[in-house]
Amino acid sequence: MKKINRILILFVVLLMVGAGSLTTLSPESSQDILANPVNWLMVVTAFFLIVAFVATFEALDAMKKMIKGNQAGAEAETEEAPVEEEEDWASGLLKTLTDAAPLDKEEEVATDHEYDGIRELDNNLPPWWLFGFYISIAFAVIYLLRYHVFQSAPLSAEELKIELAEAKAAEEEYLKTAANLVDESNVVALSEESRLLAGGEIFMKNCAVCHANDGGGGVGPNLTDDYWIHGNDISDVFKTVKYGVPAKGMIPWKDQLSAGEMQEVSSYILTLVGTTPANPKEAQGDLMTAAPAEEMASSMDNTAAVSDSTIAE
Amino acid sequence: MQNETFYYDNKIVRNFTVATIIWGVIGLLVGIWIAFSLVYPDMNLTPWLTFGRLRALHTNGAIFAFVGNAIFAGIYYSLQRLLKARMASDLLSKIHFWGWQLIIVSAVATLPFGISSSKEYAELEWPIDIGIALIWVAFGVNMFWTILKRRERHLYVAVWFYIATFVTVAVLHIVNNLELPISAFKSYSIFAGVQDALVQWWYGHNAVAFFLTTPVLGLMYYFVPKAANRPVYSYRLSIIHFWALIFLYIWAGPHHLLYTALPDWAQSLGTVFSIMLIFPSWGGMINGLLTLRGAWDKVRDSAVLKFFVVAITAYGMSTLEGPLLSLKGLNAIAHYTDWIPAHVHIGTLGWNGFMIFGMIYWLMPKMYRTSLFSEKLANTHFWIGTTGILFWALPMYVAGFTQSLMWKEFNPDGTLVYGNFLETVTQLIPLYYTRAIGGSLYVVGMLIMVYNVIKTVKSGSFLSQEEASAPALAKEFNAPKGDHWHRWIERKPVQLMVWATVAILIGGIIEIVPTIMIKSNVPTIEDVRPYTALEVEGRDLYIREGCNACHSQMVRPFRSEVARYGEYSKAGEFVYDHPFLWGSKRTGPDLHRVGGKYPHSWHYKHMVEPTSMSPGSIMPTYEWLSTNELNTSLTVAKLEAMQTLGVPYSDSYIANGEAHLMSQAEEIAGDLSSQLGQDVSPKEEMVALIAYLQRLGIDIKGQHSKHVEATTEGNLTAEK
Repeated sequence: MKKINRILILFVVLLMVGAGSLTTLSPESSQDILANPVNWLMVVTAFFLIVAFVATFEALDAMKKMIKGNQAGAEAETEEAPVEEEEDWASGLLKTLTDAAPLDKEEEVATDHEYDGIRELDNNLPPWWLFGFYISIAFAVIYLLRYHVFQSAPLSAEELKIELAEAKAAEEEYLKTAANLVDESNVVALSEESRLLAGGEIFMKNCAVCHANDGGGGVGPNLTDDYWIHGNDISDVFKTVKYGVPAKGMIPWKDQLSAGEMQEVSSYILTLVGTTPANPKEAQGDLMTAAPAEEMASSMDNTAAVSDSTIAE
Repeated sequence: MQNETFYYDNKIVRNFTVATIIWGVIGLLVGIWIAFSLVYPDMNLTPWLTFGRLRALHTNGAIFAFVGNAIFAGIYYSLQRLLKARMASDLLSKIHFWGWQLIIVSAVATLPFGISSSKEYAELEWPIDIGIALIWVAFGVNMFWTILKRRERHLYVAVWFYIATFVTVAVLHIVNNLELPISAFKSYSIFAGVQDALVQWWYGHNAVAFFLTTPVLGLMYYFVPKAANRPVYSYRLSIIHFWALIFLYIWAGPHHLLYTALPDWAQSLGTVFSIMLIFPSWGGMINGLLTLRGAWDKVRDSAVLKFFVVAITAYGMSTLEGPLLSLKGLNAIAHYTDWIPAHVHIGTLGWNGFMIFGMIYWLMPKMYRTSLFSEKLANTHFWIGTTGILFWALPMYVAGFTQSLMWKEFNPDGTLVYGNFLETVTQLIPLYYTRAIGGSLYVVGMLIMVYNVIKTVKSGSFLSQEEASAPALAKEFNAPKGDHWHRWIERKPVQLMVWATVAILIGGIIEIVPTIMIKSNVPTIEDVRPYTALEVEGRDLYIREGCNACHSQMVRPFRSEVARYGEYSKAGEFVYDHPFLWGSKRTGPDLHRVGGKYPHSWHYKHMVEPTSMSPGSIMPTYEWLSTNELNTSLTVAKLEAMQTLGVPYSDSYIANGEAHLMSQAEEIAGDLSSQLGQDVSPKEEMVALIAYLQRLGIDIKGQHSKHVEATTEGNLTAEK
């Protein structure tokens, strides 16, 4: 039991120090620290190291006693008794922290209370407990002063402002250097196989629920025909994807897809034009036959014919 | 003084114990069902078997049926012996027992059918609420009457906890269930939005405190020293931890609402009082565990003591974890994720469940004058149960952490890595499966207990009336010199009750009254308007189906949530929300800004077959919403009730409520018909629900449809 108690106390002390130091950090950085699994791993590792440390110590101690016992032989008994009495630092610490009456001296702290055979001792409040309680009260006072009197820590709305400003700065920094700097003014239709494939995956994951797997339309319009509600060149499609058309139920994707991904999926959508979906939705919008790339011109007549026949039906 | 002979009533204890076992198994089986239905959504077979409706049945069953019956069993057993008196009134004991079972049955008969007021752990509708209040008072009167007739001068610490429990639960239950009835099965909370949320979580948090904690601590103070045959560790620790616990606990409710639209000052109070709660809670743990000092050798052999040790340890763990979760940094990660159910279940399965099992194993052989049928089976139960708890909680910690990190992860260009919420859910399904296995193990353990108890009962003979004798209390009492000052109040039950009441009222009053009375706590937003008649009906369907069990309506002020959902939620947006529907868990995405995000047809298809719009979704299908016809017989009454509660509907709007409802329904049904290419009747329930969803969170944009404008039309001209 003693060993377990020692470890427990060490852990509690560690925890208090840890929790205490966390509160001194600003909320964002403490959040970062908590959000990082590596830090959690470190805490766990530290805990195990302490346990291992204590266990090793105990083992060494036991070995020492064993060796001593072997050497001293019969004399050991008389010699060992005072050794037992002498307290090492840990049990001394334990005693100071718990301040419990020893089991054999329990009667000294017993009260005369007795309820249905249940008796009550009146051990002192464990000092570690009492100090912990005081520390928690001090924490409360400091916390309230910090947030609401000195206002030296940001409340939630302020915290968001800081977070957004930091994010914006980081984004701008990134976009300066990144090749990802695509927007509706400079976007071009991609033709590399790999990027169109990526666009197809994005389409399946995000767009297919409303526009069907093959682009034939459903809740959203048919993307395979030549009728477009918001324009059919790459910049138009990119814009529709990016900002959405909330009034008609098309959601903006700018916060969920990166510019590069929006370019990929927009390019992929344009490759769907002219294909024959399983359940094509009726045409919506205006007929736009200007193909974005020259090589598509040849297939244009064909596409138009399909769309026309759809309308005829 | 002459000894008086009297008899302890064991029958009432036995009855409550049997009820504990039966409802415990049933309540936890419902839990297993819904746990598996998150893995196999097809298990949402019929409307009354859907997750949203059954979750409330599980939570109410576990709290009020399982733990409730157990604490009554324990109280009736220990109270009589601690006071050396039979329960004052057998009739009240009986009314209490049968009344409580009737309440549980009525919960089973209403919650699965969507009769719910939506407030967590207080879902039961107003007639049942009144029943609960009456039965609770019957219990309190019986307890207090017995206390007044006691033959023991001083009240033992367990009884202090029982008294605090009685007083506080009564206050919490009544205030949180203040509602305006519309029909026998429908009512609206008199509080709205932020205020309703604060009252609810003042209640919700303290239901944990005063239903799952204080009475169980009382049981601990009786059964642990009894079973271990050891004196209680420290009387002075009992005193300080009792008063500190009941005074501080009541303040901590707002920690359920960190980063919500609740005013910052109230959130901060929630945080600091939670931190200050750590040591008072641990005082109970220390007093329980250290009572076993010198009896650890018995723990090795005794299943009862093993259960108690793990229970008290679980109590210590969750009362440390809870306050840590109240720190902003940790709360921002854990809230709305599976971390919270994990935390809760350490408390309920570990602390409550194991205390109860230990108590049953100790109590039943005693009352049946025999020994336990099989100590070995009890030990098996212990190990299976412990494994079950680990299998339950550990995967959920991982799930909570994983999902939270996924929600918050950004690409360098400022987009969300997991923009599609569903990706963060499907990731967790294996963990949900493990959790369900853990729950099943726990119930297997309970079934072993059922067998063991039946065998024990069969081998013994029940002692219904247990003889005891003690002298009556003398009228005069002179306190011995050097008596501890606290002994005085232990002789004065009325004063003890009064002071306990004062202690528990302070925190609630300081937090709730200003939130209701001071206007700056809920800044007005000019553009926020009442719900239309159709939206009110849709909102009630949202409540009926328990959508708030899985969807929050509270976008927190984080970059990751603003990017995912839109503008963060403001207090002023909820002023007409009777009751509030902020939710506490996101198994699905937040819905506060869902209005206008998708076309009507998307919602229609999604509700009929969620996977058609979101492949891999684990949401139940709500097909019946497209075949049920909306019941509009109460529409006008509902609008009138809302008006009574302060929602500024014009009289003319209410008078034409049904016509307004139909005109909006026809418009939506028309849109749906053309979008879906199939005929959609304006009378479908689906239409009302879609109307409500499309209204969510759009008022701050300042563009109101003509239907919304109509709600207050008469008023505006009158004012001008």
